[in-house]
Amino acid sequence: MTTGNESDPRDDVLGKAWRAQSQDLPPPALDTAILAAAHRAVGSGPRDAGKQAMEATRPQRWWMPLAAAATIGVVVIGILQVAPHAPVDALIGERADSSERAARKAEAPNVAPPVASSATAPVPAIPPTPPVAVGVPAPVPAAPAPQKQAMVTESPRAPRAAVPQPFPADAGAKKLEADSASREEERKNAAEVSRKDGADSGAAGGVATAPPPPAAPAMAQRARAAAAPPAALGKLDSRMRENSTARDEATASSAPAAASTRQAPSELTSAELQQRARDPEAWIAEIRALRNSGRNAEAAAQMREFRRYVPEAESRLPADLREWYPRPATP
Amino acid sequence: MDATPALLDADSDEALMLAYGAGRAAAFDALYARHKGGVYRYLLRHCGNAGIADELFQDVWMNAIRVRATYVPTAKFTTWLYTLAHHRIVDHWRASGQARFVSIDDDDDDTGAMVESIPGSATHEPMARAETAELRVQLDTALRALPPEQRDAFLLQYEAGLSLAEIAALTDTGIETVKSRLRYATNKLRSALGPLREEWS
Repeated sequence: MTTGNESDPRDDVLGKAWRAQSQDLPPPALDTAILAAAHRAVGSGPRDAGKQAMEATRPQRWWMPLAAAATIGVVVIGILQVAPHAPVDALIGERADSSERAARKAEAPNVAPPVASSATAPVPAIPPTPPVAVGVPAPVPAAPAPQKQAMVTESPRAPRAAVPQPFPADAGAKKLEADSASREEERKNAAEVSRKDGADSGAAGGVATAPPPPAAPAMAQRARAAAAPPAALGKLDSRMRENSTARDEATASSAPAAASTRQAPSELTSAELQQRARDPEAWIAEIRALRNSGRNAEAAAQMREFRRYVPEAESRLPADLREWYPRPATP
Repeated sequence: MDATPALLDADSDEALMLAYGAGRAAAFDALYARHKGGVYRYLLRHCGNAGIADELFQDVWMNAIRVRATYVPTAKFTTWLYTLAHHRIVDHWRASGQARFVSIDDDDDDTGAMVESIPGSATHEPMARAETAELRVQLDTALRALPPEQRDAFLLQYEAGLSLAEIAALTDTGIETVKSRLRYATNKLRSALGPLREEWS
């Protein structure tokens, strides 16, 4: 019964029978749980503590640089959104001004019209070139004059377009061409209007219907420039000053008698210009009418103004008026 | 994962446990595959309840996992593992108030009488059934009727394959005491087998 040595009471038959019936095993779920715990224990052992700590702190390690980069990006985008308009606009405006100036110089001989037309045709005010941002389309410059005047008060921003636009310098050149064309049209229209006005004034013979003096367009330009918004005053004023200078020079060349006594355009006031622009014959007729109507004080004042502003006034004045209000003796 | 278990199976239990303590989880897989059946049956035969056996089984292996870093192969891994299982079952008996690991005299004949009184024993089924299921029932019944010390010694020898000296060291008793316990247990189970014993022999 007892097999082996006597000290070991092992029974082979019993052992065989025991092994035959002893086949129990733990449930698979328990196996899985224990093996998972064993693997977790090895994964969380002290040897891997450093690696686990690195993994745990990895989000914090990249979080700070990421946040800093995002902040810098937002700030840069904000600056790019806000800052570049003024310098780019100024740069483009300068470029357009210089190109306009060059074009105007080039066409100066052609622009100088004959005496009559230059004295009567008002040169339209050149609207300020709206600032054109890089990549933003330039406004179509072929619009008629009223629209161009309206553009002065419009927002300087031009509508954006998806299609690529030409370089602003090209747009400025095209705009100059369109401006010169529209200016020619305006000159023709003004000449026609002045001719009509001249005919009307000749028929009426009154002072109120007299044709506008030669310097009236320049004065109107100055008045518009004074009324223009301050933002557009810079370029507009400079251009108008140039225009008025050119026109005054043309007027001076057409009236050599007046050129000797004329003052510098910048020294003349609007009242002086108005007096200078009056027709001497009409002025004499006005003085005579004032005197005839008994308004001697006003007639005397007009005599003083006549002598002041009309060159060679004494030779133009009739003898009766010279005797009625002689020239005061100069000290 | 495929080649590693084959390499680890060639290693001893102690080497595998050391490898697992060094961080190789695959070593534990091999160890578990080798010993999970024996440890589970050892606990199941002791407590007779699969649910409790599952709980005790998990506790034993979790203890092994927990003390992996301090494992020193001064004895066989099997002795160390069944020591954990033995302590856990003793704790279970104590906690449940069914502690029977008291000093039971090896020469106590009451257990023999108790085994013989179990239904299905050889005295009640004189001729009979040679089927494995019946064998299992008879052995289970006879085993549960054994005193815990004798059952423990029997299970340590027949399930864990421990030697007398290892069982003596594990249960902190003398070899002669282990021998005596085994002798009593074997005799009672042998008698419980009855006629089936001849079929197995």
